Order: sequence, then structure tokens, then C-alpha cells
Amino acid sequence: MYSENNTSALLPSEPQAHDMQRLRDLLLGKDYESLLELRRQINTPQLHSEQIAKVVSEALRLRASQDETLSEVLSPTIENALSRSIENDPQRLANALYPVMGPAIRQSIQEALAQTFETFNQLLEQSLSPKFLGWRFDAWRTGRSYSEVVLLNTLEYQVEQVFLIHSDTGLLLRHAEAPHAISKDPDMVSGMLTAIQDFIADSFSVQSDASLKRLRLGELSVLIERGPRAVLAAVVRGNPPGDLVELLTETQESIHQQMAHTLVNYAGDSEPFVRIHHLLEDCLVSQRQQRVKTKPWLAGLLLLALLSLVAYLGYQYHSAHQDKLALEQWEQQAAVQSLQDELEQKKKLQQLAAQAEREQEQTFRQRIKQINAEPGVVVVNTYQTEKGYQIEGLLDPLARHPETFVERMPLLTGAGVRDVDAVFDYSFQPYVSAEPAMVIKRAHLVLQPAKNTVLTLKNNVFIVSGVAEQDWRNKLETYWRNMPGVTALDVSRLRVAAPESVREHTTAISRLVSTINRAKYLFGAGKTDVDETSVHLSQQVINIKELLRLATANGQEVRIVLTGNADQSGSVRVNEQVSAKRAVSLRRSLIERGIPAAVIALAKKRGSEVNERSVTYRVQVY
Amino acid sequence: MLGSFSVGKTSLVKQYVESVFSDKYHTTLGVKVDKKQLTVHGQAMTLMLWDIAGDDDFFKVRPTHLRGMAGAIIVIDGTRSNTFDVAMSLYKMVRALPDGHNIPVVFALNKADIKHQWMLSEEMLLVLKETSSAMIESSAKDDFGVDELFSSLAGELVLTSKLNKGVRA
Repeated sequence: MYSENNTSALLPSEPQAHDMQRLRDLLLGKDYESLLELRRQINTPQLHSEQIAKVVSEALRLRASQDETLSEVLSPTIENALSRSIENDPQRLANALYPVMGPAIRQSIQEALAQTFETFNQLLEQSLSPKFLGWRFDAWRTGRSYSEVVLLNTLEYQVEQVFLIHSDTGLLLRHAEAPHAISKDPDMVSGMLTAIQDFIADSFSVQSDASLKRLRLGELSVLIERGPRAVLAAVVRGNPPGDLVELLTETQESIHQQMAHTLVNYAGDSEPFVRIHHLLEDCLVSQRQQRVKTKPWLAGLLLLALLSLVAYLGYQYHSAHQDKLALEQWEQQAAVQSLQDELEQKKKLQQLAAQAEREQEQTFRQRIKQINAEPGVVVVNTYQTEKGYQIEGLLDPLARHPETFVERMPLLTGAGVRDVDAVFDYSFQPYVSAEPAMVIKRAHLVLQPAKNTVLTLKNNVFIVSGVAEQDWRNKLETYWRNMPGVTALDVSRLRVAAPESVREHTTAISRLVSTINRAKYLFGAGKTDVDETSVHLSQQVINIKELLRLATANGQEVRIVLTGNADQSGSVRVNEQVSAKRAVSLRRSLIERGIPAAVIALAKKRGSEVNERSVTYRVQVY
Repeated sequence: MLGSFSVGKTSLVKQYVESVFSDKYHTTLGVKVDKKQLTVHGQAMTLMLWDIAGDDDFFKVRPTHLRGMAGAIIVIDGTRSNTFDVAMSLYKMVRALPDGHNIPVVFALNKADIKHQWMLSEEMLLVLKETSSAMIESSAKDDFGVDELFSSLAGELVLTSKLNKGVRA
């Protein structure tokens, strides 16, 4: 740029100037005129300003679009200008800002109030919970204010994800997430988040400048901070504190400041927003619940007390348990013992009962055996009844009825109890027995044999011996063939005698028997030997010999029993000896005189009633 | 994705992408967002598909849903001629947006599998051809023309060079 003085110094002298003028005209023509005019315009500030004024705003716009230098250059000037303006006339700027400041301040106040209300509400909610008392106690114990304790306990949160979303398109500019946070495709979440905001804004007619600030689902909140070009959304788990909103606002401002140009010209390329990723990451804050620290000694004391309590209770429980166990064991043992005793008792009783039953059974079998042993009775069946036994069988009419000979037997009513006799209930069918005893008995009944006729049965052979009359002998011949159980008749030892001689002999025998019985041999005092010369002895021998002869003729046998006696002067023992000696002496004398020894027998007992020194006779003929 | 109710918008999107969100968002929010990454003319891009609930008595298409869109697919059910009218009114809505004359619009003539039942007149088809960037016959049922539909829109977006990456359709 040329100054005024320099210009005049360079100018030539007058005539020269004229020539120069002409030369210039020739050389440059009209261009020189315009050059001069241009120089005049530049040298004249008034004209120069007019020229620049025409292009200044276009030039600024052009430069601003090229780089950021214009802002840098202009900001000090603008700041100075603003300061000067406020110094000169604050009212003017206040008036200008009023439409902007009003809503901004109002919004700020609303936000602060909303936060306060929220905290207050939380406090109210929590003061009704059981935690309340615990916190009061903590506050009293630690000496902190109650609100401080509540604050420490309630502010637990974590920012899990932060979305930076382009306002106009709803496209995701940048996304940051905390480690371990679960997130779906952030692009789509960003779209849906925008759609939700639009949905709410559209569905509920709200003021145009209002926007969705917070979404809440259970413990999850989405805080939305809306800026002019982008939306910052933070997904928070827990109770987001008020200063988190502040942090989001600050971040939003920083982003808008740093990325203003990129945001305005955003056309879908999110790459440049990598630069501000750290700002989003700064928002991934979290606050863990901080426990109010207790003094260690107190905790130790508490722990110790708790431990000793637990140990004591444990010991108590253990010993109680042991006692209980021992008691239970003892009870069990006792129960087992008593059970065993009972079982043993039962077993014993059962054994007793079984034994008693066995005994009863045995006795009964003996009784049945006894009945069966009786000729003419056969037991076929037996039943046990309530009161005893039912006995069924066969009974020969000539046989003895068991009622007359069976011994009584006690009935077993309980275990080993035998109070009453068993009742035998007989039920017999009549029959004819072939047993020898019954055969003989029936033969006696039918044949009516004489006294000296003997009937026996041996191996089905009917043996008749002794003496019989001819008539009886004839009768026998017809009868024996009809006798059941008899196959043959043996009469080899039967002698048939004439009816008169037999009767005579019988009378003579009776007379002799009474004669012999009446006679007695008398001894002197203390004497036991027999006088061989006595009349009595010889007479008695004659009588006995005659009796023997007659009896043999009649087919009968004779037996004579001698009984020694003594007087009552001596002792009983001596008298017994004396009596026995007297009988023996007489027997020897009789045998010496020819009486068969087999006929004469000694009585087993001396006759104690007879008060005499003698030997008496008793004759048996059969 | 725009169009009258039950023209097959959702079926087309379903055929094209694996969806993360449930279809119930349509009835609650009126919109469901899906994503598809693809390469067109050597250019990697991400399509954010806003499947907007059918325009009917219950759901009116919200202008806020259209705000910021980079391109649109307007779906017509060939068998219902009134879906053409709805499509035209939606088309006007798109054009009325700020910078709306630069937004590429592709018409999808859906239900091409039953083309014999189509009720569209020659005039209608002519109008569509003239107004749109492209007109593509499609069938979500037979998976016919679906890829072509979306890649044609993506191609248009690249050609307009309005966007480099990330497109909201």
C-alpha cells in the first residue's frame, strides 16, 4: 500500500509529466485510466470500505466453511465486543438474551426441583421400610448425619451403556458400554429409542420444546439428554443420582462443542465420532454401595459375642442332642428288651400250651388205647369238642361199656389250665366181636357150661376141657360151628361123665371141703413144731386125699391154703414169726404124709383177728 | 418401509433380515427398526430399516417417523388397487419433507406370486414408473425380487451420493 507522501515524491516535473502522459496514453490507452481509478479506490478508505462491504459476509462464509480459523480469530474480538457492550449498556444484551434465557433458566430450575422431589420421594419410600431403623441406628452409632447415611446406602448405580444418537436421522453416532453389560445391536436400539421418543412426543400432546427425559423399567433407567444436534442416552442400572444428569449435560455440551461442524454436516458417516469416544466412556460411571465402616474393635467384639453364642448354642444343642440320643438309644434298648421279654414270655406260654396240649393229647391217646384194649370195643373216630371228646366206634353188646372203666381226664381250657374233666361223648354201633375173650364170653352165655367144664380159645381153636355131661357135649357140637372166629374144636381133654356120679362127687366134695375147713391144728404155748402122732393130722390127711380123688374124677383142681395164727401175749413181730413158722411146720408134715406139695400153699398174711395158737385151712376147688 | 396395511412390508423385511425385536412393536410403537449391512458398487453400507406400521384407521404414519429418512420403499399390494392411492399419498408426504425432492423412492409391487389377481391399471403402472426411482415386482412369499428391491434402493442412495455410510430407509 502506498502512502500519500511517497506518491508525490515519485511524480516527475511538469513538462516531463506531460510527455509521460502522452506516452502512457499511447501505450496503455483506456486501461491506464481504469488502473488509476482502481488505485484511487484502494487509496481512498471510503471507497475501499465500500468495495469490501460488498463481499465481506460472503468471504466470511467461505472461510468458515474452509476451516475453523475464523472462529479463533473472531472469538477474542466478539468476547471483547460483548464485554464492552455489557459494560456500556447491560440492559441491551439482557433484552436480547431474554427470549433465550427465560426458558433455559426455567428448565434448569424445573430440573433441580424434579431431582429434589425425587430424592425426597425416595427418602419417604425408604423411611417406611425396615431399612429405615437400621440406618437410624447406623447414624447414631457412627455420629454421621442421618441424611449422609441414607445417601451412602441409596446411591448404588451403574451406567451400563451410553448412546450418542443423531437427532434428525436417529442413527447411532457412537456407543459405549461397560464391561459385562448385555446389549443388543446398538444401531437398532438407537433407532427404537428414537422411535419411542417420537411415539411419546406424538401420542401425548406436549410442548414442542419438551422431550423425553427418562425411561424406567424396574431397576433399569434410560436417561436421555437431548442436545440441538444429538441425543445422549445413558442406560443406568440402579438409582441414578442427580449429578449423573449433570455429567450427561456436560458431556453433551462438550460433544456439541467439539463436533459442531461434523454434526451439522452429518451424512451417515459415523467414523469421525471415534474422537469423542472417551467422553462417552467417561459417562460409564458406577457407584457401589458403600458400607458405613464400623470400628474394628466393635466388630471384633460383636463377632466374638456372636461366635461364643453360636458355640454355646451349638454345645447346648450338641449335648441336648447327645442326651436325647442316649435317651433314645436307652428307650430303644428298653423297648427291644421288653419286646424280647414279651416274645420269650409268649414263647414260654406257647411252649407250655403246646406241652399241655401234647400231654392232653397223650392222655387222650392212652384213654383210646385203654378203650381199644378192652375186648369188644373198637374206636373208629375221635373228635375234639368244646367240652371234651366225641368218640365213635363199634361196641359188642356183651362187652363192657367204656363209661364203666375209662378213667377221668382233665380238660385243657387255657394255657395249662385244667379245672374241669373232659366229657366223653360216646357213639357206638353194635357189632359181634371175634376177639377170644368175647368169643368165650358169648360161648359161656349160650352153652351155660358146668363148673368143671373149661372153655378156652387158642389160634381160632375152641378148646373145651374138664368134665361135661353128654347132653352138653351134644349141644357143643352144634354150637361151635356157628361161633364167629372159631375154625376148629378141641375136646381131647374133655371127659364125658354120667350125670349122677358127677352130682354125687360134687356133693361129697362140698362136704369134705367144709370138714377140712372147720378143722384146725392147735399148738402149745410158744410151740411151733407139729406132733406127728396127733389124730387130727392123720384124719386131715385122709380127708384131703379123698377130696383130691373126687375132684380129679370131676375134672376139678384143689388148692389148700394154710394160715398160721398166734395168741396176743407176745410182741407183734414175734407173733408174726411164730405164726409163719407154725404154718410151714404143718405144711411139711402134710407133704411128708403124701399130700402133693403143689396143692398146699401158705397164706401171705397171718390171721391177725384170730386170738389162738393154731393153723387154719381154706380149701379152693375149681 | 411404507405402505397400506397388510401389503407385505413386514414380510419383505423379514425375508431380508434377521430381526432382533418382536413384531409386537408395530402395534405398540407403530414402528420396528431392523438393520442390514451390505456392499453396493464396492461401497460398504448399513441400512437401518424402519418398518412403519400400515397406514390405516388405527395407525396414521407419523411425520416424525419420516423425518431424517434417506430413502423410502413404498409397498403396494398388486391385488388391492386402493393400496396404490395410499402409496401415492405417502409418496407426496415424503416429497413434502424438507429436502424431500432429493430422497430416492422405490415402489415395490408386492404379491407378484399371484400376479394374475392384480388389479392395477396400465395408467397406474405408468404413474409409478414416472414418479419413482425404481419400480420392482416382489413376492415375500416366494422370495422373489426382495434382494433386488433393497439393493436397488441402496444403489440409488449411493448414486445420489448424499450419504457415504449408514442409511435410513
